[in-house]
Formats: sequence, C-alpha cells, structure tokens
Amino acid sequence: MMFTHPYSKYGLALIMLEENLSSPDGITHQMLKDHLTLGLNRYRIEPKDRLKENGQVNFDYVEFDTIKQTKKLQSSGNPKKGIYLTPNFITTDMQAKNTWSSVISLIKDIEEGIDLSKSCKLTKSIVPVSNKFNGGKLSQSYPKSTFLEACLCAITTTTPYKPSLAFKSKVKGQVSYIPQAVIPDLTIPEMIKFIELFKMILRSRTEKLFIGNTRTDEKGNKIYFRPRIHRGNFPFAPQSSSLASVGLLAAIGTWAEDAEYREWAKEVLKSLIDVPIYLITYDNSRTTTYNHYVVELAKKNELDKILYGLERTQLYGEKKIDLDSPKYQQFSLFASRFLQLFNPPAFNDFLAFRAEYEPELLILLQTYFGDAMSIPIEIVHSARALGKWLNNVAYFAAKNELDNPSDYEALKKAKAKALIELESSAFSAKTGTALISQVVTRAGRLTGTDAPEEATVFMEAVAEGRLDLVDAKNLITAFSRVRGSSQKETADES
Amino acid sequence: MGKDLSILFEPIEFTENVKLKIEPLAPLSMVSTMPGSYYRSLRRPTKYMLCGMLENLLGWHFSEEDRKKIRKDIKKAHKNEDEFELKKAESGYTPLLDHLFEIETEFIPEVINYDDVWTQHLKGRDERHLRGARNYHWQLEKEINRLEDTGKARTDYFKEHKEKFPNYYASPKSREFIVADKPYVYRINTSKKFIDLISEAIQEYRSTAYLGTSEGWVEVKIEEFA
Repeated sequence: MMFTHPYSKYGLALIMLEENLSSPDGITHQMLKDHLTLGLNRYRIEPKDRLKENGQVNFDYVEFDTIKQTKKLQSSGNPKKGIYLTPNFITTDMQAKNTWSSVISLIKDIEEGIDLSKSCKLTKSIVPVSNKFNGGKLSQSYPKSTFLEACLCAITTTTPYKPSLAFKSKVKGQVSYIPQAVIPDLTIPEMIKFIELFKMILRSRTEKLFIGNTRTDEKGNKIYFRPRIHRGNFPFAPQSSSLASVGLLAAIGTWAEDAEYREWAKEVLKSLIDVPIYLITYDNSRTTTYNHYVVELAKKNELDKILYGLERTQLYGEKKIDLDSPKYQQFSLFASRFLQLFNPPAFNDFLAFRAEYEPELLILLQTYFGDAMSIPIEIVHSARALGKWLNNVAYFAAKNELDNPSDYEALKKAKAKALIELESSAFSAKTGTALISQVVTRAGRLTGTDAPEEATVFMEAVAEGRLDLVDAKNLITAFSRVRGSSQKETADES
Repeated sequence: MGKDLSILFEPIEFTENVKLKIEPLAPLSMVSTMPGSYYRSLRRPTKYMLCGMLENLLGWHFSEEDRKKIRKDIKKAHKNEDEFELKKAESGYTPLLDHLFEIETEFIPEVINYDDVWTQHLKGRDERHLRGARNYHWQLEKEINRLEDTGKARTDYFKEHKEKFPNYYASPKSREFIVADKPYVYRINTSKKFIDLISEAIQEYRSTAYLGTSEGWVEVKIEEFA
C-alpha cells in the first residue's frame, strides 16, 4: 500500500532506518511492538536527583513498567512533584490516558498476531490529525486504514526520535503546554536521512535539555518547572514556540559547520527547501514552508544568531522583554511568518512592530533586501550605514536631552521617541528627495553631525529615483532600528 | 431523460491516446487519508478522484444502491476478460468509470500550500447542532434568543424542535489547500466512445467539475496530441 500522508511516512521511515529495511514489506510484528514500547517508555518525565545547590535538578523518563503499575500516572502527571507529560507524546494533558490505552491496545493486537493489512479505525488518540468526520454515512465516523498504517502513525505519535516541543501558550494568565511534533513532508529516502541526522543531533548536543529549574517557596516546598526539553528537543530551541521550526533549521545548520557532517547536513537542509513542514498537535495542526533564502541562512550557520536576536528585540511600549506576554507572542508569530514567506506583505507585518533590533538581525535584513528583494548590494550596505548613523543620532540626542543620562529607563524611552520621530518623517515622505531631506536634515539638526559618506550611494539612488520609494522607506526604517553595538543600552549591561 | 450507460458494459478497447488537461480555477484541497482534525491535501488527484470528477462532469449522480447494481452488471459484462478488476477507494467511493481509461503519464505542476478554514458539515443530537446551525426556521428566532445559557436548555430545545433545524450544522476545520500555477496534464489511453462522451458533456456545459472540495472548480479539456 502507498503511504501518502507525512504522518505515517515518518513512522515508516523511522522503522526502516532502525531495522535497516529497504521496503515496508520487511516490517514484522516484533518491530512494531518494540517501537511502540519505546514510545511508552518516553511518556512521562520526572525529577531524578535531589535538589542541587543552584536550584536545578536532572530529569529522566519514567519507566514503562512503573507507569503500567501506577494507574494514576497513566492518566495524569503531577506538576507539584515535577512529573510532566513528555513533549514527544502528541496528545494533551486531558487526553493522554486515551493515547496511552490506545497504544497498549495496539500492542495487545500485535501480540495476538493480528493481520497487518486488517482494516483499522484511525482514532484521534493514535493519529492526532484525524477525527470523526462526515464521510457521507448516517453518522460521523473515524477514517480507516490498515492496522500497519495505524501502528506507524502511533509510532510517530509517541517516538522521542522526532523534533518536538511543548507549545507554550498563555491565555488570560493561564499557561498551557501542548506537545507539538515537527514533521517534514519528505520522500521516504529523504525522510530516512533527516531522521538519521536528527537522531545524531539528539544524541550529542542535548544533555542540558534534561535539566529543569526549581525554586523553594516560603513554606519550604519545592516548586518544579519543566525541563528544557519542553522548549524543543534540539539545540537553539527558541523560547517562543512559534519560532520552533526555525530553531530546528538552525540546529541542523550548525552541523553544516562540522567538516565531517557538512555534506550530510547540507543535503538534509536542501531537501527541506520549499517543503511543507507540519506542526502537529492534538487539537490543531498547521503547515509552514521555508524558502531557500532562509535555508541558506541555516546552511551558513547564521540562523541561530538571528533567532537569538529576535528573542532579544525590544518592542517599544513594553517595559521589558517578556516573551510570554501577548505582544511578544504576536511579534514572534509575525517574525516566524516573515521567515516563512519572506515577501513584502510579511515583511510589512514584521516591520509594523515598532522595536529596536539587535545587531544579529543585520544579516537577516541584508538577506531580505539584497537577495529576496534583489536590491543592489552596495545600496543595501549604504542604507545600513545611514541607518547606523540614524540610530546613533537618536541615542546621542536622547542622552543630551536627559538631565540624568545614566537613567537607563529614561534613556531608552527618549531614544525610542527620537527614533519614532525619524521613522514617522520617513514614512510621510512623498518622494525620494523628500525622504532624504526630511530624514537627514532632521537627524543632522538633532546632533549637529552630517550623514556618513558611506550613505551617499543610497541617498543618490533614492534621489535619482533608481530605488523604489517604498523599498527606500523600508530600508531606512529597518536599518535605523538596529542598535549600535557600542551603545551602553540597558541596566543589565552596565 | 435516461442516461446511456452502455459504454460501461462494452468490451474494453483502448485505441486512442489523448491529452486530459485539468486546469484548477481555485485552490484545491484533495484529501484521501486521515481526515478529521487537520485535512492535509495531496499534491495531485488520485485516479479515483479523477473518476469522481468525470462522473460529476457527466451529470452521473448515482446513489450507493444504484452503484452497487451497476457495478454488478459491469462485472458480469466483463467476466470473460482476464485480469479485469473493479476497484474501490479506501474512502468507500465506488467508481464507475475507472475501467474506461488508463493513465500512461502525468505532468504534475508545482504547487504552493497554505492552511485555511473549511466548513465541515456534521449531524448532531445535542446543543452543538443548535449552536452550529447557520439557518433555522424563522419561528424559532425569538425563543432561541431567550434560551437559558446552559447546555441542557439548548439540548432540550433542539430535541423539541428538531425538524425546524437543517440536517447538518457547520463546524469549521483547518484544511490545507494547494495552488497550482499550471494545469495537470495526463496522457491517457482510452476508447473513442469515452472521448466523445466526455467531450459532449463539456460542450453542453452540463455540470461543473471539481476536485477535492466542491469549491475546487477545475476546467477539463480532452485534446489530441499535436
């Protein structure tokens, strides 16, 4: 039978890789049982060590036998004791026991020697993308397939050998963690290469993932927090879940640096260009796709720095960087959409968040303007020089204005105000020459300095109409937001 | 006017090699497996989907019962042919035209994909049906507005006035759509009678052809190879 859905293809590729098979025909009952049992051994995670001095503790998976004997663990964790649902088990806290019992039931059928081609219901507990639906019958029913496909899906649902994270969403002050799988839509051979590389990443750079923070409250009780693996079981997993799939590309990209694995990692990255990547959770799934610009950034090992920069963006109007706040969640979402689509509308949405960018985002902006928008690279560099000057102008203007220049909060606010003024005058310009004169004159007046010589190329291009006005505005706005690395900015840096 | 199904029972003789061109006029979402929570689209239609599309084009809308009878007759008519197989899709769809053409080669265009919300229609027995029904009898409007905001109140009300509600209620689901920049082109082997049958239906504008969802309209053409 043909496997077309990436969800079952993943489980198939995993089994073929692990058992060294060249086709699905070689799959035996024992293989299915082994892999399903492995997943059940990665169902719950609990703290293992006693509290270390610096408030951290090691986590480890709860054994299958322990869970089998402790009925309570089958249906719920115990956050008070630090027992959590693992992020690789694609279900929800409420429905976890259904997934558990469905997999146990599959194993039982396997032990009884069921025919692998027997028709089987694909329930939501083993295949999160399915559900009862209107199939033209009198009442809703689950989709059907073979028992084999059901098992392969169940393997995908439970296996720790897939990129996964606990998607964090904060709604009305309540935080919920929902396991999410990242499944690319590759051909079976490409999928096998991907899984093999991923397993290697999992083995070698993820020791810190099993460490979680703890705290002691006033009464002396230990308070546990989820270990880092809930952010993502790959390095550079960002704190904002919406950027998780970018983190995965970044992680693969770092392997392209290592001479031994370079060709392999590059091949895997190449296979991911323009390929749908499915982010699958129990209740909701969606697709993302990355174009070759972003994958190139991953190959050059720049993507992890970009993520670092994105998660340190200072949004105006927000007192501090709280990645769980609604504004920051929104920003992360639009940043991830920009990285996915990499086109003018997505960029506009990204730019709409007034913020100050970290220098790490320069390469992202240069790639967007220079490569995706095909603006001549010398104009982009020149615009960068102008933007750098504008950012410094705002900084020094703010410093001069304040009575107490070492009050970092006030300095931040004043600088933001100055930058917004410059942005607004850029935005309101109706022609290229107006743009240059309004922005440069205003900035020059604020500090009594001139625009740098490197900015000439850009200014000439704008004045002569060789550069589109909208592009020019975007260039100025984006680059002027990049913080100069020499400025002493925040209280934590001093 | 009756429909002439004689082509289904005639001996199979593929003498013609023609181009079947399918141009999507809207985003398509062709789902053949694991629907329910998230509908992932195939990048190309299956042969069963093509059969369904052609049946719609011909205006052949037959019930399950009629299909069973017709397929029984098809089997009987071809019982002397070796390797004759009447297949059916995993979804339960039983095609009638499957044996009338075979695909030799296919040209699949590049597609981009995106997620959108699609309205699934479901049947319910409780308040979900009341809450999701887009239209109901105008006489109920005042009473529904005055209903208590509890599940029980709505469920009881629904059960009492069931006939005044539509048979299905709407439940939006996330669905993947694909957009193709070029047509799907197939090189098919078939009979002259089949080509005439389809061409006639196309020329008469007898019915719309669609793939995937009923909003995925496509334009179908059968052409000779130059």
